[in-house]
Amino acid sequence: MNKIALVILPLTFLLFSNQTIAQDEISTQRKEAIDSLALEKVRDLSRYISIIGNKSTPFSEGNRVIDRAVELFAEGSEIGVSSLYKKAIQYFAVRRYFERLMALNYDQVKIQWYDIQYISDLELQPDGRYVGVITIFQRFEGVTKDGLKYKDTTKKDITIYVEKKTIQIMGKDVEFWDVLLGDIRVKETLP
Amino acid sequence: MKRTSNKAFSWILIISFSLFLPLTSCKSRKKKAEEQARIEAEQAAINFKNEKAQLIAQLEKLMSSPIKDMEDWDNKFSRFQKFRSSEKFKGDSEVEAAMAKAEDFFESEKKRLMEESSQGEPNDYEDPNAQLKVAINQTFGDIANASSYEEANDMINSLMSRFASSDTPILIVIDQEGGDKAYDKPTTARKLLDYIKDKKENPYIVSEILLNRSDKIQSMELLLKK
Amino acid sequence: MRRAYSNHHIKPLVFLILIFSGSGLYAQWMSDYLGDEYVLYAETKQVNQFFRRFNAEELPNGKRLYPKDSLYHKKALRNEYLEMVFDQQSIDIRKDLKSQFLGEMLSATEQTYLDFHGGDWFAEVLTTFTYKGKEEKMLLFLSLEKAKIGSKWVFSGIYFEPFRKIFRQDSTPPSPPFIHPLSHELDFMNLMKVFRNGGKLEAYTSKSYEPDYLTLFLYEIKKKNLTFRSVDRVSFHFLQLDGWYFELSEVTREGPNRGWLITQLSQVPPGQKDRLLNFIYRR
Repeated sequence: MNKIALVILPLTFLLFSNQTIAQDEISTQRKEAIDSLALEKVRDLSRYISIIGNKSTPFSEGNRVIDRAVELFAEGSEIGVSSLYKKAIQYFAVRRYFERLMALNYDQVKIQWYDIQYISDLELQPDGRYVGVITIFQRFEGVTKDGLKYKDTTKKDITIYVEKKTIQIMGKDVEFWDVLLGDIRVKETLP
Repeated sequence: MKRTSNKAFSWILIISFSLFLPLTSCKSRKKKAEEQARIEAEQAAINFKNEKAQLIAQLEKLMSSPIKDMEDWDNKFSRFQKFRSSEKFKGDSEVEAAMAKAEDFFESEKKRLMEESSQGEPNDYEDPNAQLKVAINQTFGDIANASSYEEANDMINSLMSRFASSDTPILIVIDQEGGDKAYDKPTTARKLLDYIKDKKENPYIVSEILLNRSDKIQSMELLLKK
Repeated sequence: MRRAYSNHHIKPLVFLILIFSGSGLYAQWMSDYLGDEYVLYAETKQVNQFFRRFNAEELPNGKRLYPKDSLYHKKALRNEYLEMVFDQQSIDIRKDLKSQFLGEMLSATEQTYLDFHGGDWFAEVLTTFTYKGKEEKMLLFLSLEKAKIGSKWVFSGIYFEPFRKIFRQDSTPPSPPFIHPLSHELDFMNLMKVFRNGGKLEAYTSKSYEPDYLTLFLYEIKKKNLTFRSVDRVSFHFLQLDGWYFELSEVTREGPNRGWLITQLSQVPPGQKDRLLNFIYRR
């Protein structure tokens, strides 16, 4: 690498340091740990959706899990759903979306997650939080009492907010990475 | 027979071919379908045999060497659980025998690890809570592998008695670079155990425990399993 | 410590990309092997992924590459990605132009990359609004703007036919009306006639006057004459690369060539950038 590049490279990082989580702010290892944490929250959401949508989940457990699922989200988050044929987006508050999921009129429900999670770069937004988007794919199959089948594949683009916060635990200040989910765009897609 | 004209004869031929062909192709289609079904059944039997052999080989592999520690036990037992939950080979005597053998193996290995950890390795003198950590890690694994909500809740309620309260703070380390630790959002004892139950897996190892004067856990720190 | 990717890894990765680019046999084999997942890996799932693939800043499985990784910005990797991020079925992209474009992006002397924060790219959002009780389509244009901290999307313009109708310039009338140069001596009493007669009031504005439709838009929303209904379609216009314009749209179809792809490509001769912008903004 020539001398000019040696000078330009760190300057380039400085230029970006107030926009994206750049490498001179936190290490790659730390950044990957935060990405993993964010992905884990999304996996948690997927797991909760599977539990809520499962007819065999006891009602009390289902309600408890809805509470846990809602806690994953920042306040005011919404879920916007559209289908291949009806492009207009329907908006739901997070809790309402889960309640609807629990009340689905299927006798059997099978929810599968494709093993693909794509995570964007984290961008700094004006309130000091970092924002990113994680994309996952879900396959849903439902069978009604009368044997009617419904299948769809959806792409979910999930907003994530990352912020470093401090909390007091037993008199000590503990810094932690707060990862919350935000708006989710659910789009029916081709399999 | 009086000979018809060439043109008319051609038409008769064409018409008879078109009548004849569907019949022949109908018969041959049926035969083809039967043959296809036979081939598919044979193939299915071969696949079943191969998959069964593969499953038994995988079970043997799990038991091929002694288990290193409780974390290793958790990982291997989870994999065994996954094999066990499959309905495909239910009733097959060979598979049932292999499963029973694996079951015994995990039982005896668990006993051995528990005994070893309680025998007072040199580390125990530095860490008085080592045994408690092992027991908690094991319970986490048991909760994750519970076969029903009732079973999981029973284990949770039993473990909760070791904590000062259901709100006992739990810290989770997501990354460590030298002495610098990065944490996930702190949670509480009850929420943690419910989380493991919901997730049906245990991603944690207990790293630090702080006990109060009544020997109850007043805070706990967990690491993520690699 | 992260494992660096050596040159050693290029061939299998290039192979993997060939697969994702949908080239024939390999595509079929991988599709059989991975099933639905193969297509989902190949899909350019986010605009962010488009940037990363364009620049060769990630592996085919989506794992991020960093400057210290040897495959970061690697030409061979970029070469495959750049093919992949084009809509291979678009009739708006000339083959020769595309080759020229790729040649320039992968120039031997200096490769050209896209920068998320580099400006000169913006969003065009087709929306539905209700205006005075009637459903109407509106184009909203948004640009990424640096804030005191971080960045955000801001409205940079709109195109709304009902507004345009009001301000539409008919052909210049043979004798446009005017307020004569000594009107001030009569306390501008002729303003009464100006407003009584109505007609094209724009004739009385300065020659540099342009209606500000964005302000109209905000005003009508505040007055509750205009209500947002839905987002119908999103696309992006890129003028960041010197001498080039391309459009990025979301392509939904079967097969691996889908997601956020370049659906239009054209050259922008020197001095023509503003003209193109006026065209896009429908000015």
